[in-house]
Amino acid sequence: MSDAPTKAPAAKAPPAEDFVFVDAGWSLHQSYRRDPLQAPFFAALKEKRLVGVRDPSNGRVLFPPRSFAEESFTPLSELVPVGPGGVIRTLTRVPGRKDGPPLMVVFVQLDGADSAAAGRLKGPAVEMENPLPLIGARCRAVFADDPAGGWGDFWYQLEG
Amino acid sequence: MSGERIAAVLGVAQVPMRTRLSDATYADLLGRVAHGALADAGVDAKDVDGLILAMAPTSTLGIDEPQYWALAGLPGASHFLGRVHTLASSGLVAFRLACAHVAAGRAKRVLVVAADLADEAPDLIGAIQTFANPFAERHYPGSAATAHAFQMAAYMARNGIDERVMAGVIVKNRANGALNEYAQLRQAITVDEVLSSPVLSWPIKRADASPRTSGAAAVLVGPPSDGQVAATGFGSYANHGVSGARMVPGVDESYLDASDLAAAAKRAYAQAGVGDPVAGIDLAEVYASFGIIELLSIEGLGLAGQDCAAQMIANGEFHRDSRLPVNASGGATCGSPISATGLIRVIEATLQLRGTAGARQVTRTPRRAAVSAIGGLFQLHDVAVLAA
Repeated sequence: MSDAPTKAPAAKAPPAEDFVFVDAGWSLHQSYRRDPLQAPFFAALKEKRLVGVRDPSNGRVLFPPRSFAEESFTPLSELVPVGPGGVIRTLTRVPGRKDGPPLMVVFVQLDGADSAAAGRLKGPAVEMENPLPLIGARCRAVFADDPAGGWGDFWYQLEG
Repeated sequence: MSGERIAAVLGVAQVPMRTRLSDATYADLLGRVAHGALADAGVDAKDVDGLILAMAPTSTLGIDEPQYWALAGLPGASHFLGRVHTLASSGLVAFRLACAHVAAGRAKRVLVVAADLADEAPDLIGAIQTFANPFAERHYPGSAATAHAFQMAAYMARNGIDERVMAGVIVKNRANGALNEYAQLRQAITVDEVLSSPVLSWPIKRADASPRTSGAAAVLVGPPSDGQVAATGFGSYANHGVSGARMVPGVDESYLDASDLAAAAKRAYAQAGVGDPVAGIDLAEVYASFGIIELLSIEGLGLAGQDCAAQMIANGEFHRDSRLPVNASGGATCGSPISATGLIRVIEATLQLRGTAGARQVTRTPRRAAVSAIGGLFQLHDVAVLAA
């Protein structure tokens, strides 16, 4: 992909040198039509359930569910339960903003799923000096007390 | 029918890469490198009958649709063939298409141009989010560093190697960049300096990443003739867009192991008549805006066995004085204008094959080079083989 996300001067900061810039900001609004399977996916989250979708062409289960498998060029509709346990496939730790705690982002392959999806790992493991042993470790989805029907409804903790 | 010369690199030009290029607009930069490439080739503007603009992403540059206002004065502009928008692989893809037009007899000489002015937009974060599937993969904080940290962590975990070994590729490239008059970062760096640079997204640190770069490049392509560097093979491979579906053992691990680049390389080597790349390739210029991308690319190109590249660099392989130098220019980690970076890889390989790379010329002048670039979140892969 592309180059590093250096924080260059903020959009409204004056130029560092005697440059004169012509404003070329875009005036555009964009929204996407929602994937049809997002509604049942978010509805299930509200009930503290995780669902994927089965690809009938190869039997694989994709999480999160989507209405079309690019992988096999197949329309999808059969929702199946996945998780709440799973395996961490890879991770990164993003420094916290303004001295806040760091954020551990993990890709988890939930039990019953044939794809991984990103989520947040919480708990003491986040502070490990070398978190590499977490790759391959088992974890479990944990739900908020009052799920709102969105991605923020669940996160992961190590099992055991 | 393998190993034929598809099209020749008639002329090349680039400008020194910098954080800011204060004396040029985007259109000026395109004009400067376009005429530089024609001068290098000794070709008149009227004899260019095709023009391709490589440019991506759009929104990071603060520049909207320059094909409508920045091209009219360029050689071949009245035969404008189109714009290529495949992120960091744009330059290499545009070169491939230019060669295809020439080889098919649709044009005699096609010019490929690209430029970036990195200081015209504040950051890349919003643009990079747009590479991810909007329904499956935009719910976590995504950046270029994060996207490649997932690869680097997995590489370290499966090979049991630490950050000191991983830093070797950066130390190699920065030493090479010190010899490249066009590089943006021209100071050598130590392992300790890599390790002590600020963490962007662990295990990726500032020094593991390319800087944001302003720059420009142009390549003029024409029919093959004796004595000129020529393309002899191309291969592409595009996978689907959900990175989490490409991290699963037994299903698809291409996001973590560069097997998609290997598929592109296989196609390019077949066309170029390269059997064993370790024996048949003398030099490689691989697009890698992070050190981990270079390691995965070396393996994907078949220049090292899977999971061997980091350790081989630690053992002195792929350095500029080794048998098979990789990124003797310093590579993208010493400067990477995104739109032009794939084209710069073609230029650097061409200069080495010509034996005219100046202070950065490798010890043994190569006969055959591999060039690669990857666009997006490891979705689009391109490989070319060039021969002296």
